[in-house]
Amino acid sequence: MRYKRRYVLLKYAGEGGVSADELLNRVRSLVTSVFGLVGLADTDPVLAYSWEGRVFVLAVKREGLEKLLASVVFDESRSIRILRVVGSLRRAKKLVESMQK
Amino acid sequence: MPKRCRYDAFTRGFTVEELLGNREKIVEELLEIATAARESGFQGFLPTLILEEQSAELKRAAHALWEACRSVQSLRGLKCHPRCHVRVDRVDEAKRIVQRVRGVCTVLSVEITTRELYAFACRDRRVDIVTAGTRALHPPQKGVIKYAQLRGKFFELVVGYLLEGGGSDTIASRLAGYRELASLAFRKGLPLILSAGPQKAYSPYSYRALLSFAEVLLGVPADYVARSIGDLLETRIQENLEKISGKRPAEGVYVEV
Repeated sequence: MRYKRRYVLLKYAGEGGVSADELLNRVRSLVTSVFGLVGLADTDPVLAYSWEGRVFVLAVKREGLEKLLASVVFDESRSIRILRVVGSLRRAKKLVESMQK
Repeated sequence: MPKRCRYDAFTRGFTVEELLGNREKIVEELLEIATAARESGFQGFLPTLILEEQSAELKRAAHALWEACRSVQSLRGLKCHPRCHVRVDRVDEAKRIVQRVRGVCTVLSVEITTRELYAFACRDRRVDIVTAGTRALHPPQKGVIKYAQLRGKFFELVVGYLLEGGGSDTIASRLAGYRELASLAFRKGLPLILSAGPQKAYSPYSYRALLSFAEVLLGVPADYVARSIGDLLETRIQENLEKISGKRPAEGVYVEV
């Protein structure tokens, strides 16, 4: 089945950079610790795009979007910052490009 | 129609000593904060002075913050108003501090640690925001809520306190307290503010993340919180600025120039 997705622009605001896999794992573990496995299944975050280990675009199931955003609050290092939520990958990429300028 | 403004209601948390130090350093830090706040989806922020004890320097520190906020506002265009946050254990001490700093801050809040402080904060007209501390997560008495409604108090939950030094069972019990307070504020029509709380280095929660937190974990509609930290807070700030400038000398009196 094809799900409707939303694209979340995240910025890593911590020291240095972080790899895309690392960030994705961190987001997944945050969602799991707050909402459990069912929450993770609702959210199903997938990396769609990344730029220089600072800005990332995660594709998320529309039903689980609020859960993902709420679980980012539980990040103790507060290094993950949500920039925008958009409806298409094309728009997300455009926004990242505008940040690069 | 005036432009919408979303405030980060508890920015950084400065101490009296920090504010009485190098003025340029404070302005520089406020400029960095402005950039981070804008990135996180806010259009304004309230740099907060935390007052934990009575001292001769309180007013001077509050005034230094006021001046710094004014210079940042003219440099970056982001709305920036000083806030004083009273965090003491006794009502008489809180009263003395409130009396001294009310005229030099746009927003004044009192952190609740005891039942007596709850009653004081909800009744006193000079207090704008009632902040739930980590020690008093029980709901206030009926009469106190009535006063809070009459005086138009804002209720604030500090999300940063939720995670402060505790395992998952502590977090869960604090979250239960937050849920109870949030649903009470919503049912009684008291504006609800969510904020990051005091930090050594400013790292805000995104506006969008705070709204989702309210909706999913506190069970309060996101638009209710959005209105509280947007239009309602903006209206209160404008009212307070008019009071300080003398345009509203008393309740119900407005001086037109």
